[in-house]
Formats: sequence, C-alpha cells, structure tokens
Amino acid sequence: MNLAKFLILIVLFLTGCTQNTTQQYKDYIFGTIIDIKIYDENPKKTEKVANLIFNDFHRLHDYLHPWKPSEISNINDAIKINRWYQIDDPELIEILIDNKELSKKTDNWFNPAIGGLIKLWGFHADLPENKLPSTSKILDYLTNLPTMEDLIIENKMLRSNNKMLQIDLGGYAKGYALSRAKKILLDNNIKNALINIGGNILAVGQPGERFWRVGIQHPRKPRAMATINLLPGWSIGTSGDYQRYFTINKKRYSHLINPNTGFPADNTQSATVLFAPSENSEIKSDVYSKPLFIAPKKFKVELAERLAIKNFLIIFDDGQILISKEMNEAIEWIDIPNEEVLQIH
Amino acid sequence: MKKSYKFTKLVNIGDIVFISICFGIILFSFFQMINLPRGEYIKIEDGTHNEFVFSLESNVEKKIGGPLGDTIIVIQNNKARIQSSPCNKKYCIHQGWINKINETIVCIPNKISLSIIGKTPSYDSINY
Repeated sequence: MNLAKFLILIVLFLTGCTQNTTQQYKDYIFGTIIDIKIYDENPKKTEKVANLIFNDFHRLHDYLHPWKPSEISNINDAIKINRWYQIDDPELIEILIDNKELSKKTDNWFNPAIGGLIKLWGFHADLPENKLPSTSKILDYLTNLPTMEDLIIENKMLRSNNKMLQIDLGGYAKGYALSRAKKILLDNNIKNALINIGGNILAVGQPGERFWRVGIQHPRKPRAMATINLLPGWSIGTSGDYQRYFTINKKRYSHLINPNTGFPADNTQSATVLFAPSENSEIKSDVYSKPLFIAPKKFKVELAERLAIKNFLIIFDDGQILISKEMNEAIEWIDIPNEEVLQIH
Repeated sequence: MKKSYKFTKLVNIGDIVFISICFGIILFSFFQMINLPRGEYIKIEDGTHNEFVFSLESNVEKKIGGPLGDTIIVIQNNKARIQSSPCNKKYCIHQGWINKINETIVCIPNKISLSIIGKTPSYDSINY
C-alpha cells in the first residue's frame, strides 16, 4: 500500500464520519421558551436559519403584543375611543380576518376580543396579579360581551361599535409563529427540524430514520405523562391550567377564561390537540385547544367533532381522561393521571 | 516447491500505520465511554445560552445568574431542585425535587431551566 492509497483510505474513512447532527437553539420570546432543533449536516447554516426564525418571532412579539405598545395595542386604543384605525400591513389584516373566522367556527369559545376581561383578571402583566376582580365588574362586562364579529374591517380601515372590544391574540400568536417558522425553514432548504414555542410544537421532516418524539406534559407533575411520535408536518398544542395561574384559598384561577361566565374555566386541567399537515394546521394546533379546554364537559366531544379535531386528549379537573380513538392509538402512556379512560370512537 | 511468504512483504508500513490509527480510535472511544460518570445528569441552561451539565451523583450548590438575580440550584442524593430564586411567584421552587429523565423545571422570569438527562433521551421536546 503506497502513500496515495493510504491517504484515499483516510479520506474515505473521514467522509463516512460526516453526517447529520441535531443542533439545538433556544431563546425567550412571547414570554416563554423557544426551542429549535435542526437536524442537518451544516451547523453554520442551521445557526443562521435559527436566528432568522428568532428574529421573525421578535418581530411578531413586538407587533402583536396585547398590552405593551404594539400595532394591536394601537388598534385597541382606537376602538376605546370609537375611532377608525388604518392598517397598512396586509399581514395584520389577514391575521385579524383569520381570527374572526376561527372565533366564528368555534362559537366564540375561542374569543380573541376579550382582552378587557383577561386584563380584569390580572393576566395582562408578565406575572398574574393574584387578586380576584369584583363580580359586579365581571357581570358588567358580560352584559356587553365583545366578539370578533363586532370588529369591522373595510379595506384597510378598522373599527368597532363595541368599545369593550380589546384584541388579545395570545391564543393565536404561537400557532401563527409556528407557521412562519415552517415557511422560513422551507425557504432556506432545511428539511428536518422541531420547533417548540412554549409547548406548541411543529415537526418538519424527521431526524434520520426515526420520527421526532415528543413528551406530553403531566398537568400536575413536572414530567411527561405520555409520549408520541410527531410525524413530518404534524403539530401539537396544549392548553393547561398549570402555566399561567394564581391561587387564592387553594383554588386555582388560570388565564383560560370562559367568555360566557367571565370566570377562568375550571372543569379541565389540560386539553391537547394534534393535527396532520393541512392548510393552517399549525394555527389550529394552538387555537383549537382553547375551546376544548374552556367549553363545559358536555360540549367538548361535539365541539371536537364539529371542528374536525380527530386527535385530542383532555384531562378533566378530577384527573379523568377523555381521549379520541386516533389519539389513544398514537400515544404511549408513561404516567397515566387516572386509570379511568373515556375513549371516543 | 514450497512458497515462503515474508510478513514484511504482505504488510507494508502504511498498513501498519492505518491499523494502528484504527486501534487508537477504538481504544480512545472505549476509554471515553467507560470514563463517563454513571447514572444521569442535570443540565442547567441560562438565558444567555450557557449550558452546564453535572452528574446527579455530585453534591453541589450552584449559583446561576439571570436577569433578575441569582438562582440557587442544589444537587443532592441523586436529585436536584431550585432552592432559591429572585422571581416573584416562586413556581420553580414549588416544583420541588426532580430526579427522573426528562423532568424539567423552568423559571421563565429569570430565564433558567434545569432538566434531568440520561445517556439516551426518551423524547426530543415536550408539549405543555
């Protein structure tokens, strides 16, 4: 064996070592952790793309923030004084129209017009305020409950006859951000990644031969209660009473407020939905967990059927589990909250 | 007539170098593997992308700085917890001890997270 052959062998050996690896990037945006995993062979490229995504999320955060100065808070200020507001950005008009349609589809169980009610409960702050609003204020609010139908959009102009209407896209922004992340990944030719925005997760492609594997948080323990393979293009979202809440006299008040009662929904600990790739499926995986969490127990299955949510998992206040047949087949339990499982066929 | 082979004619110096390198890599990998501390680890991350990994078998108290101040993390008897935190709600302290793979405590206000990791993670990310 001469030197040339030896060098060729070494080169072949090292080429065999070149392979895709998973690079992880984190940032704190939307008041939560963003975790991006990219499976690719070029770490320089993955870092650049992760930063493009983080920058876009910062832009959305500043743009859609419900209570800090933003385009949304400007709109809310104009509505308060019954003024027309001009929106020059077609992206924002599209977002608002989408929110009108989604709240209509969900019979307003998803209601992004109740920013005022969320504020009344002290959740328009980085940390909840820990005090109960007066019942009379809540009842007053409900007499003129705003919905997205009260929002009038004519060309680029926007107004509302209901001065109580205050837009809060907290239940939509993370899903929208996931759809933006997907676009950025595809535009930059990244084929395999996992994006987690405060628990809302989108799988793009898969890491090699296996699928991306995701844990589903136990609502009362600091670990996963189940795991699931997130197939390429699928997204998963959970609404839970364990992230933003306060307790008074041992009662938990979460940020997920029932627009019909004016009080935080308390019949559920967590509602998880899983969507196959389709138009706006990332947005649905964020938005549709809200109606399933908030609506009374007797409406949940009907709502899931009407919204075509095939994969859902609901943990009720008493730990009882309501799960769709498809979801039950997809998940693997690690720590089941209750042995009594009500499965839907 | 019986043919005789000389070792030096079958294997030249390049082959010996190549085989030695291969053995070297195998031995290096083996020692790397057996030198890893047994058991599981705790991974602590702060808001500036610093990452610290400790064996759960170590008994240490770590002070990690965040935007609000110092968070104190204790690792003791194969488990870990946040002992003190400058955040308002102290949700992270109330989470108590963690010791199983993938158990995680996150203090969003002070941008600090700790999670128990094993040699092989059982999932890539968590939905909450």
